[in-house]
Amino acid sequence: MRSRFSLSVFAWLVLVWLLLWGSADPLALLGAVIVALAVLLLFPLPTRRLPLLRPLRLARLAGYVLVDLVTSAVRTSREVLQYGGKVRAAVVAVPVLSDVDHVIATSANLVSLTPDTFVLQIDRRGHVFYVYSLGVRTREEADRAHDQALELQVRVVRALGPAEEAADVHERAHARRKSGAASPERAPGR
Amino acid sequence: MIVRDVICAVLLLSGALFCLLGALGLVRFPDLPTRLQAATKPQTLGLLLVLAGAAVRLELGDALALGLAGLFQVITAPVLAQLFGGVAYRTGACEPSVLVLDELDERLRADRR
Repeated sequence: MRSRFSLSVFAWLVLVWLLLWGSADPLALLGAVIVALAVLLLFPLPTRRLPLLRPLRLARLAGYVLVDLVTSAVRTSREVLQYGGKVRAAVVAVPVLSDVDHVIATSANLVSLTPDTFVLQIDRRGHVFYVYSLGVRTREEADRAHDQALELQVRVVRALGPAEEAADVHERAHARRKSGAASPERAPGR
Repeated sequence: MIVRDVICAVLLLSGALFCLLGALGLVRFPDLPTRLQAATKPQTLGLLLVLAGAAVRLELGDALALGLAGLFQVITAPVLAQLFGGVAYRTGACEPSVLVLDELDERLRADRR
């Protein structure tokens, strides 16, 4: 259990506690250390190195998710106003582009964060996400939802995934794209 | 100061609007997964906007605490959506007429054969 103690997580927990109290006086600091230690010792996590290798791509991923959040919130709102009770949805199978747990978990979480989709089920061995997508009425729209989830995954893998996966993820995603007209993407690699 | 007030007002009001639309979806949508989308998702953006609007008017230390609230929302909302969505699907709380395509069901049928 001791070997799993991670200094960065400890620092993060202390920071969270101080932010919650809104001050850094000695008493709050003492409380922060006690709480952080207690959390780490009582709920040990499989720690791993923090993926701070590619801050630029991470920032770009954050920006993409933010834009995605806004556009799909608007889309969901339109579904509410326009269709209401006659709303339609689809469950789409999307290939998983990574074989690393934390990358898959992050991808699934980000897909679920954007307002009109969430991951219904992950088939870890078969490498498939089943994504529930709101507002899908036709085959083309289902394909678009499929490609959108792929696109998000490409960005996650490139930001957080191991180097060998990040290198060719763009090609692998491209090969599995469904809606024929591929979006004008940047050249693969960088 | 006026600029700040305007930014704050725009953020707060648009955030409130998204929350309202989410609530409206909760009433209008037909089954659990679609309602779940309405309840959790525009709400997330709504909350983030409201927090941002409040942060504009606050001192830095308090604004950071609001950032923390936003972060937790962003981390926890998808987990909730996945758990509830998965349970709803497996227990048959999905209205079948809502789904135009269900590749998970196709797969499950194929496995059973």
